[in-house]
Amino acid sequence: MKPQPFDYVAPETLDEALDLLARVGDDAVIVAGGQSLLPILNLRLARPELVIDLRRVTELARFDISETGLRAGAMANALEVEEHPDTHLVPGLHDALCQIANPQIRSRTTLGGSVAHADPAAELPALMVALGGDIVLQSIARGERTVSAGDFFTGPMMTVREPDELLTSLWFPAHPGPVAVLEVAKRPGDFAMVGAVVGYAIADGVISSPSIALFGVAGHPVRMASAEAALRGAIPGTDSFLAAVELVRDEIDPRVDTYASSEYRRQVAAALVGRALVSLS
Amino acid sequence: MKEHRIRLKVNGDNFEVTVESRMLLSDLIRHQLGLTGTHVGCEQGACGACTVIIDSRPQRSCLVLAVQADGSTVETVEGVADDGIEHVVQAALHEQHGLQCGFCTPGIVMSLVAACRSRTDAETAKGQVLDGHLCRCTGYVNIRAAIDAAWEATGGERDSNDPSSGR
Repeated sequence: MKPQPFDYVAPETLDEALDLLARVGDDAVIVAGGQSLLPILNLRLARPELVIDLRRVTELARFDISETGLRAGAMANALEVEEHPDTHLVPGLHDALCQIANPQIRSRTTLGGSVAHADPAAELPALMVALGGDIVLQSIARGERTVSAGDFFTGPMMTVREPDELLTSLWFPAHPGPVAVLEVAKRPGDFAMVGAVVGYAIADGVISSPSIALFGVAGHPVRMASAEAALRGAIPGTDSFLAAVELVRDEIDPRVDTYASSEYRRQVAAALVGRALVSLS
Repeated sequence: MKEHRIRLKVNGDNFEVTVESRMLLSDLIRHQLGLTGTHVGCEQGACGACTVIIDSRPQRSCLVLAVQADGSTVETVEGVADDGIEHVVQAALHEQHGLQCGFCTPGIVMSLVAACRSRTDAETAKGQVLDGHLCRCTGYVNIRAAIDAAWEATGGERDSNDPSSGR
């Protein structure tokens, strides 16, 4: 199908984009890479009056990776970040990016677009939630505000972003230990039925900074608080890992769709967390 | 604005055209420029048939608005052969029977030409890159054989026909 008619504008500066959003917020959609939005427009699931394209706002495309983390403008390109020699400084980042669709899609995918779109099966929102990242929103009415990733996602394709706000930048803090990003999908590159982002460090022989976020099981990425609490301070090994896996199994009540039952998702989620814990030890 | 005057380069030729905001790049290529080698399957990014090379990278032309390609350099399957001589990827697909009905082939050719130019390793080309395409005839076995043959033939050499190689 083809999109219904709309107006299109590609502002050249952030101020211009914010001004447009302030005036037309509700009736406009913002296109970043367009790899989720264009299918939505083509299928007429969205029928906006105006499409605001950020491709000319070059200040939003910058990103900077250091030992403390990744600061990415909303328009930072997924393939460019993936191919950057310092991507390993943010554990989990490369593995998360590699599992987004395929290179033909990632050549246009933007980090900000993926996070703002908030697909429950997407990798980057889950990575942000697992790492405890921050999302910066900007509007003329409210100025700039920073929202923690754990508070940003509210449901499937739903976030706390207001219609006049633009997601301008993302902060992915580097986890002190290694991070695994595992998912099960019908085919490689397809939407994950279930995925897990798992990280921990080891200090004085015990687990510190455990972090577990699941995606594809609920309307938005979810942290596994009880499993993390059980792992904190525990000796890494079969006993502590199995205990955490059991807690994950109890903590979730996964969604159902035509591809997988709730119970199947529960089993896969537990298995992925177990596999990730072992792979990091 | 609902209509836009845009300029783009397609297969080495400069075009200046007027497009509606909602026009997809795939439709501009096929209906306005008459380059029907680019096929349109799903129009939601899943099948890969419409893949073209935009500014050196393979991309879905159904997931790009024509107006977004303003100022871009686009290559379609019509621009791949050099004066009637098949590109090494095309020759390998031909020789290894890497196509049957051929509907998905133009997209696969564009992804593989880009991968060949960027010296993507053969395993990645057979895995991640080919994952971006659906072929319902071949079972992919002969396409993978064609990738091996093309990569062996080029030895990872850069393609002289690559418009980005002069940069």
